[in-house]
Amino acid sequence: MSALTNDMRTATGVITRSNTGIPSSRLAMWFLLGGEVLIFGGLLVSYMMGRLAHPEWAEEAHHTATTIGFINAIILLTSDLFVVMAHADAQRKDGASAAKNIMITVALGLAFLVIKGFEYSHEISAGLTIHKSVFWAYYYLITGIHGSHIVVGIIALTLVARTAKRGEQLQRVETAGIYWHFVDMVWLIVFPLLYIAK
Amino acid sequence: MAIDAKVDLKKARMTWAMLVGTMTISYLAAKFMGHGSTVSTVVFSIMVVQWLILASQFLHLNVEPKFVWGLWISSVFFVAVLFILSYFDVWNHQGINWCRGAADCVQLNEPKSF
Repeated sequence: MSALTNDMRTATGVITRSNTGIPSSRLAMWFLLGGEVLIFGGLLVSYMMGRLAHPEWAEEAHHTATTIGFINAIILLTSDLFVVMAHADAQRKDGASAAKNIMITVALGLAFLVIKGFEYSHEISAGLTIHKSVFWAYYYLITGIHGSHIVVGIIALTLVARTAKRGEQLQRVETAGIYWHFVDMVWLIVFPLLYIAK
Repeated sequence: MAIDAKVDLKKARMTWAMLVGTMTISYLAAKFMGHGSTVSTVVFSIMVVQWLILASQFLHLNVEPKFVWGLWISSVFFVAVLFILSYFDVWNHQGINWCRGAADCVQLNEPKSF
């Protein structure tokens, strides 16, 4: 089968070639996220193992701020909606509106990081540092790796917004959006694990 | 051919409201009913539902080819293998040349009588 017969036109108007039936950029993102599932999965499973083996960690978990974790969950869920709206704009080829919705998502991502930073400073000043116990080492590792993914997402979305504003490369909106949704999905697991199960 | 499903904004807003609503239920349950095993079980059940909603609606896995599902399931499979293989060790208190608690270690260090 020639490569030409595999041409597809996405809703954002881009012709792409792929034998799997999905555009190459989206395919690459799915592969990336497959690897991310292993990274976060391994980390969260090892935390769960530790938690099962050490019931005394529940005492440590009592110090995590449930309300702050909840506010951050709502912020990320809301940012998800704006990513979907940006995707809808990209499908209508309205790059300016897509860029606006992406920048709102970026602002919400920054708000997440600021709140997380406030939470960290409060915990560190209370002596709950990464050296305090294995629980707190896991806590900072899990939330830190998740936070670094938020930073990467913010950078990626900002770059996508720049091109989208000019009406170019609108298919990137969806690809970056898939990454952002995944980062939010990780928080949906982290929140009950670290903030609810005490 | 078009390979993207059209985004339905009304459905997306409904999905968002559902996710925020269930998240609020989880939070309020933990806040007012404590962090016991019952609340944790309910919250984790809600989390699974939220995950499925987010994956199918926002991540639109519901319209992706089966290949993508296969990719995710294979990743989750290896995480599950890690969990299952290490799960049984977690409940052991001692093994060859290692022990967990002080009581187990004392028993392990006792001189063997011949």
